[in-house]
Amino acid sequence: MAELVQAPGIVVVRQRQKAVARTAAIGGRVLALVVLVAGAVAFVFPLLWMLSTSLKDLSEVFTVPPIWIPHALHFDNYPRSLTYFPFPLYLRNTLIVVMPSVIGTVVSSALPAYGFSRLRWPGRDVVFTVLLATLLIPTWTTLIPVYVLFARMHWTGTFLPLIVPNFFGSAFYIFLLRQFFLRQPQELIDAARIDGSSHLGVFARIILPLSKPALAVVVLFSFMDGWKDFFGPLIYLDNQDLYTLSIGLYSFQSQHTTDWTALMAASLMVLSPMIVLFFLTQRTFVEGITFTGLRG
Amino acid sequence: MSKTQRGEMLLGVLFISPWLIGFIWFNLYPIVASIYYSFTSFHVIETPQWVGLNNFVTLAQDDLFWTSLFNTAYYIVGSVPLDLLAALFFAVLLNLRVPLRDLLRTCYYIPTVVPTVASAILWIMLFNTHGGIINETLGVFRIPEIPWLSSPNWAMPALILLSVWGIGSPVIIFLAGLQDVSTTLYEAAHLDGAGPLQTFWHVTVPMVSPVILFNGVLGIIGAAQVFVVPYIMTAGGPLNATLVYGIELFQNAFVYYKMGYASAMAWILFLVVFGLTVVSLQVSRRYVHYE
Amino acid sequence: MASRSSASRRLSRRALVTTLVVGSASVAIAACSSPAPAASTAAPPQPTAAKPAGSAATAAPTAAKPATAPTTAPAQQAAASSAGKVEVDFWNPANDKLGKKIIGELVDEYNKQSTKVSAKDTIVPDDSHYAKYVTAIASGQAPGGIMTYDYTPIVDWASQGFIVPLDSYQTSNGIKETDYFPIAWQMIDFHGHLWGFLQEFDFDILAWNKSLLQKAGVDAATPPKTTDDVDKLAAQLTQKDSTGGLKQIGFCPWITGSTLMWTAIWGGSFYDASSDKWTIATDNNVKALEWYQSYAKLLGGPDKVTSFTKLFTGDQTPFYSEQLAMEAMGEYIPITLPDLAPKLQYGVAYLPTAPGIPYGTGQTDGGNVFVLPKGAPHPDESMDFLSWMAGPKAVLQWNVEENNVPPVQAVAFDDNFIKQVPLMKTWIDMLKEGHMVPPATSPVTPYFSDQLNTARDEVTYGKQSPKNALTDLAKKVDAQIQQFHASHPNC
Repeated sequence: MAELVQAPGIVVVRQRQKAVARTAAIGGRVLALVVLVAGAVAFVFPLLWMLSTSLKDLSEVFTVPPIWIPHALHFDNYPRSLTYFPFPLYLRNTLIVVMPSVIGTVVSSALPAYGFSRLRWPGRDVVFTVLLATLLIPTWTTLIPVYVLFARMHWTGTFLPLIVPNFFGSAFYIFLLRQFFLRQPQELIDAARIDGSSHLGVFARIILPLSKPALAVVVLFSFMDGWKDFFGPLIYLDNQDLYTLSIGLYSFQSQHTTDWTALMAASLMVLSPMIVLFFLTQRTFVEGITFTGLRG
Repeated sequence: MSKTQRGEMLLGVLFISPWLIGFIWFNLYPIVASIYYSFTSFHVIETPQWVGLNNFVTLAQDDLFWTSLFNTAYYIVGSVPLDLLAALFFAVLLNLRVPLRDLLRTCYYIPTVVPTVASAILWIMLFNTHGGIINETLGVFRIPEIPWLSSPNWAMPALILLSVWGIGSPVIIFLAGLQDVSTTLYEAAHLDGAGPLQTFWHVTVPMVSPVILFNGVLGIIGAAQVFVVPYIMTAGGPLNATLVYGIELFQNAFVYYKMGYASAMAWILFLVVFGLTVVSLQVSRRYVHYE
Repeated sequence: MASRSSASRRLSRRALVTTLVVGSASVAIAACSSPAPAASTAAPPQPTAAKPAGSAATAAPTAAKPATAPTTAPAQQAAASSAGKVEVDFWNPANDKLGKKIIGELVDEYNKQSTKVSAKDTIVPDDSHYAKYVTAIASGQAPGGIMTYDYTPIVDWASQGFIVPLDSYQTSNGIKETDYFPIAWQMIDFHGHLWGFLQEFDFDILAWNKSLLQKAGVDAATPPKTTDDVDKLAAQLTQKDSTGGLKQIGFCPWITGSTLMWTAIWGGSFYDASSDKWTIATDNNVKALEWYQSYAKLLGGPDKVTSFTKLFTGDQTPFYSEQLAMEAMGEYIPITLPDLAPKLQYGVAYLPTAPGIPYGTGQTDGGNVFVLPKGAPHPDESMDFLSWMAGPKAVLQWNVEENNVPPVQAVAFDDNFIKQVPLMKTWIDMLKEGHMVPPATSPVTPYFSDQLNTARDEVTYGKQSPKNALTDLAKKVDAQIQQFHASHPNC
């Protein structure tokens, strides 16, 4: 406002300064956009190339210069890949492993999360710190004894080692859910308790319904982790009929290392459910990662 | 302990019992067992034979052990700073008011939902020496073909470059952290006449330093245990150039079935990772700014 | 804001409910699906039929209830396979098209003619020294019978007691040492026992592309017989482009043919079975690796070779695409070659040998071995099946269809057989008049083969001299043997 009092010349100079600043700001944003778009293209491009290759003829895979769109769309690569890569069988196996695992994870993580957040008991915080500490243990360290244990129980070669451990809480999801539970208003709980509800009742009837977003995150993430899991099936499954999608795809690749068009078709079959799921639940995704990033 | 305290204790333990059982079964017992195993020699379910420090002595003389340690260090040093910088860089850009922001953010995150096996197979194809897209793109800039996965010198750099494809999660975490930085700080900097680079260095970085630490520590722990990608893409080769610690451990445990020996390796890994974490936390004391 | 959050809540509730419903459905599917493989492999071998299926009350063993599975599964298995036949779970790595087909056919034929035993064809692909098979045995879940595509694990398993000696079954099956080719016999009989039945064994000989040789003005009908001949031809037939990339390779010892084989033609060998001694850093072995070195130089380094070989996609190989002039070829190739390379004109002959080494020297590559794992649930029934698979009818069928070499001399030299496999003639001839190097039968052989390839790579990449690479290898193998004896004191 003070500028209006000054001489008109200075106003013009100020305006031009502002214009320059604004242009610089916009210029900066344009540059940022250009860089972001270039990066985004680079990140997404490999997947598009995968799609394109899955429809090519083998002779078109490594041409110089590269062929972007195949001359003829070889949709037959998909049925052809099914002869070495029984997608329906592997899909069934993957679902058999993942579905119960997700349920187990949710239930066995939500209960402890409640216990660590809305209950007071001696030693609670110490034990929770121990839980956090377990997140830092490399998986390799516990792997061999766990494997030996499962071998002694005769569970190797079955789905059991892939499913059962999920019913015993996951430190990561307990942490995540606890963060969320902590934000629930204490008054609601107090009110319910005064009305004579047990803690289990509070948990089931008040906390859980309010935690749908967080639970959705747990369901989504644990589902995807299970789908993508490679290492578990690698060491515990031997019979090809029990293979899950990830290990089945690997087995296909090690037998046919250069059948690129069929490999890309098979890979696409394995990853598209994940992509579709991602697009349907984007918001949940972002929330989930944000939860993990923001420590209370 | 009073009666109510005991009641509370019981209730608390009851609620956490699934985790508690799992903790004993899958954390406590295995940790103790693996320490014991590392002093023995056995083959899956045979009775372990005590060999004392033998495993460690043999490890010290095992070329492959040192190679895998070196390779893993190479991978950590190459990928963690690179990925942190890239993630922060893109997060900062995504934090600006640019159009299509949500769509762009999605693009950076999508690779992380791709199952690792599929992505490894895809990138073997992309890194193919002749006709692979990476070399084709380099060719546009007149750079000669690099024998990526077939060369002992270029295989690890290929894997390090590939790690950037997976920065989706750190990007989102950084974004959340960036959005927490109060705008008053930026306004103050602007009033003081700070340019974009100065603002970045003196305002943004300190304010997100806890997030940098978080992502950094997670990155180190993850990189130290990397297994699936080198296992599928190069099987530890060529010439053991990508034989990372995880692969060597896996081979000893599940191919040669030297469970005791592999447990010794697993313990050394634990100590190294623990040490790195502690060092990171110590170093961070000086540089990380908490609110 | 409100609508979005309630929408997300609705979506989440739906997601949760869907998950629960689908989840319980899939557990039910797992429970009721056919042979419920999860349950059958979860059943520990019950040597005595002690637990009668009292709890056969359906309770289809679900994937999540192992405790009840053991008692119901064997009863279920017996019920599942037809009318009281004992089931033998037969693990094999045959997931290649031809092998899968033949094994499938053989198993079906056996099942048709057997009244007491029903064999189940279970494919367990092998990626690392049959590790999965070992776990199953070591954790007490051994299958009924095992077939391997390689013989190298057999010695390891024999020394660790993972497989059962078959001496007692030898006579009843009419298996006589004198019937076998000595090198084949040595694969399965060692340390004083017979450890497996051999169905076939493989080895490579030299193949060359006639048109490429003609184009270079060389007599395409006469094969190179010495390493010098090969080297000369290789130099002539190797073509590079302006950047040093390979367009055509005359010959390269590490594209085809095992290191063991190419060392054998130099008179080298790595292991002496009679004394159980490894002879790694010998002069001939060093000479062989020096030969590898010379090819690394000729071709511009292993990088260039790998870039070259990676160009061939699908079923194509450099030899099929007529860009490799000479290679080592297994006896099973000619039968499938016309489909993959119909225009290729090629010849086969014995491997070339180094100066002073007799022409016709070769090395066995692998073989299908049938073994009886320790802890197999029904050993007698398993042996009934395995003996049939290694018996004359099955062996003949396999070898004719796959074009492999039968281990029994009489069968291999039988005119009838040769008539059915005309393409294998040169291989059979080599067995008659050639000199084959026996396989290594030490428990550390799998480890050794891995490390040998590493040593070869170090030489071709120029990181180590042949002599040093082999000396290091000898040290590593020694250390491995020490470790083996430490963890197996009674071996």
